[in-house]
Amino acid sequence: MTNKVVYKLISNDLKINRTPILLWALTAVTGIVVAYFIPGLVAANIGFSLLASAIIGVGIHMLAHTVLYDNLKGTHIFVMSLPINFKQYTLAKLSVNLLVFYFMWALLSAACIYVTLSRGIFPAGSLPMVLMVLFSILPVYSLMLSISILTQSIGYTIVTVVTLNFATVAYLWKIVYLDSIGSYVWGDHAVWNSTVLGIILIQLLVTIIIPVSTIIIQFKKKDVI
Amino acid sequence: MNTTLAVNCKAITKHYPHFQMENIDLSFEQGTVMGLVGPNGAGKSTILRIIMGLVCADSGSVEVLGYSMPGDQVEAKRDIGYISEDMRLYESETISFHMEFIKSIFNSWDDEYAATLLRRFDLKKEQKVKGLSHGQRVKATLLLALARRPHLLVFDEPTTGLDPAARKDVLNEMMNALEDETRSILFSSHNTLDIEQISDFITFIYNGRIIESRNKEEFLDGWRRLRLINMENNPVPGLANIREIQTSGKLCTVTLNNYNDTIPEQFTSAGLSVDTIERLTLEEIFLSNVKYAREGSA
Amino acid sequence: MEHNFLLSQTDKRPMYQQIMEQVKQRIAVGDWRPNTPLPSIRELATETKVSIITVKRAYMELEREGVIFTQQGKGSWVNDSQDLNELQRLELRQQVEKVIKLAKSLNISEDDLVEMIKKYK
Repeated sequence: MTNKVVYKLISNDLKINRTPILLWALTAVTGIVVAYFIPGLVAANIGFSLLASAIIGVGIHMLAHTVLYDNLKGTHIFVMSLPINFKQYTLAKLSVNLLVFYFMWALLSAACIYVTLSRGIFPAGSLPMVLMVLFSILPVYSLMLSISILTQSIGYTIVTVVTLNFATVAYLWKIVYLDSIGSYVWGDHAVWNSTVLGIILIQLLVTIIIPVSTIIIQFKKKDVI
Repeated sequence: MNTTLAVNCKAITKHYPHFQMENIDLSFEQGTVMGLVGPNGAGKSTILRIIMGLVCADSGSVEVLGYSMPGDQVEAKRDIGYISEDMRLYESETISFHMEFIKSIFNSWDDEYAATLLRRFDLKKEQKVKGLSHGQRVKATLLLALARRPHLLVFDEPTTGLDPAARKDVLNEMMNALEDETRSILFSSHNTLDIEQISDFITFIYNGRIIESRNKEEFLDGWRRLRLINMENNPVPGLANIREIQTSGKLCTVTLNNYNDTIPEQFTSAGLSVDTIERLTLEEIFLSNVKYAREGSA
Repeated sequence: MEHNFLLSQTDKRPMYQQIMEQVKQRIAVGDWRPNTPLPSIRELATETKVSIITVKRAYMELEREGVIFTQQGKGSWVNDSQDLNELQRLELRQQVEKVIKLAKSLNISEDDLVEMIKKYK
């Protein structure tokens, strides 16, 4: 059964957070502009870093304000007094976060690939690497979101964010030094071997499994408060 | 399914690590006001949350307006207005934002009534929630619950922390909401005056259990304080319904429940003379109940 | 219609008795004539901000005393067999009772009180 309150909640969260979303989007666009219009590897790095920060920024902002803050303040009790059940509430919160994050992520990915290929900053051989990096953000974000929804705790969320930050860096280093990937990065052709495809596939699977299991665990909870 | 009952809870239990709620039976008819009294931590909020479907009982059954909770909470909550002390509106938004939000969800929203309430509560539509005082915040939340004209109001401590004027406003609007025989209110308060004033039925809760639950007039009528004079130091008869005995020299004060007209006689025939018989306020009954329950469990 | 029932918090009597008294007063002073319909229980409860059950009890006691009569599901009216004089006497008795209580608390003797009353003849 669809419940229009779910859509109202999503639109409320978007409305309430529209200014920060816009500011982070602006940061992301600035990153793209820098990477695209200022020549050189340094500018490209700065641009991509801005872009990546904007995605992480908007993601953390949304989950802090729509999930953690609501619970901390007691807004969730107001919302749960409306004709909606806990499952629908969870879906609304999950959806608005995924919506905003994936929008920004799609923006980043499109810009990255376009800039990479059209400006020749990186050779075509780096495309699999770029894609793997882009796709590695997804499971990281999914886990952050799930932990915050499941625990409703600022403490656990911060620990998760920091841990994942370390883990991601280590993970990316590991990938770069895999022979079947690292050796083609500077080549003229993108090499789509089984390692590359396998890693992307696993990342995607993890990205899907985490929110799905969050829903399953959350749906078993009996008490909202 | 009994549709004439606003709320019908049977044998609810709920276990928390440090708090047990046992065998709660609570029901009242539509068109009436039920007040929950009890000290802090007695379980009033937990009961209200279970009734709202926000907390799920370990066992027992909960029916609200004929809907089974928490299963049918989406349908049930279309017709319930709930406010609680720990509830907060969206801080960064205005009262007007919230009114539009609630209006978009409830077909029953009454614009005219909402405007009237804004005036009566002296609230400004364009004010942000962040800048509201505690009293204004309670009134704004109340407005949102009332203007959709629900059949059942479930209010958890609606008057706590309000000044006398705001308290009066809130109680007035609660009574105004009882416009016809199908509107009911269930509310908790540790302000016994509020409960005494507007409740038709009173349920007294202590330590996760219901001590008494009945019609307010019977509740208040059942309790008496007898001032006795005991010239010969006779033993005070040990009636089962005595809740408290205080003696000071030849003067003796007995507080008892389930009073009836034969009671004074029982004291006089035991050699004590009855000086006065007084009724008790709900506040006094509350204190006596708590004291008795504490001594009983000690 | 506003009936302006005002209940006192310092009055020690239960609220239903205060309501009864206010109804009787209105009848005694002639504001409510025989066969005047009383406000419905719900109406009076919302107006006075007192629980329905309390107003219901006041009406029931008034009916028992013969002050009003009730038709189930229709409403209540001031009894026409009501002896206005009797009610006014009752009202006076209640006032005298108050005076005596006040005199007692002020340590005014019965004789002094009688003297005072004579003065106002």
